[in-house]
Amino acid sequence: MSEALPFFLVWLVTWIALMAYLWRLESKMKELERR
Amino acid sequence: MRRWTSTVINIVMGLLMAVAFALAFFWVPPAKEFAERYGNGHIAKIIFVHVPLAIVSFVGFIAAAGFGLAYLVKRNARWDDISYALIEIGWIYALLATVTGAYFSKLAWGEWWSWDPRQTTMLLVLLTYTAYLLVRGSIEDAERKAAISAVYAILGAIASLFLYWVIPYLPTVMAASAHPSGIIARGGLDFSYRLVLRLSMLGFLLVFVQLVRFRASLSRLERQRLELALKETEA
Repeated sequence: MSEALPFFLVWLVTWIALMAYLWRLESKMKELERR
Repeated sequence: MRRWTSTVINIVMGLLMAVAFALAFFWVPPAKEFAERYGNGHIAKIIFVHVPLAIVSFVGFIAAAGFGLAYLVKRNARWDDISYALIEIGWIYALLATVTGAYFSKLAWGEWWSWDPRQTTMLLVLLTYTAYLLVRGSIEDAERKAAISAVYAILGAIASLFLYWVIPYLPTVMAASAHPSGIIARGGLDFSYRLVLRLSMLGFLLVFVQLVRFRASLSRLERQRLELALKETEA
């Protein structure tokens, strides 16, 4: 199973990056709506 | 209707990604040729993330040129919002493709960056669109910004076409590259790889579409706020 770890890491890091970007967009949207 | 469409896309996207990950992790066997060459057949599974990121980023850059052209013809700011969203998220996808490629490079060849022709062309794509983002951010006038961005998006797409699909496939460049795309091209990966790659490709494409929709809506809202603030100042 440890041999499959690189694939798991790549998948995880990609999702964290995409979710972080989505989170940034959502906070921008909330800020605009608040203003 | 838009909300309903978005919900359906989100459900399909979530299911596709979950199924693709589960199949890749539990069902797809390690690739024999990768095991022989690099000592670990499981690292071939990185293509389920790396390849969709790279291909979808290219699709995004080409689509951005299309919307840029539409802006130049119609002068509708909505097209500029979409073109910009496609490039911003295409840039993120290209960056992630570069990072996942570098990790594969570390696992397969022992170094993160080896100036392989594929790594170099991808770096040039990133630099091209980093310049787009910087140029766009430095222009204040909205119409000038949109027009220059549209022209840049068209020129960038022409450059991308060469950097993604022409230069890496020149015989001399292919001979100098250690990139494993040759294994995939000559059918060195079995059915399970081809199936999961297609599912994952569709999943990453839907994520891209949703992010672009969200980013373009945000740009439109920002523009409307700015126009309102300008009107209030004039009044």
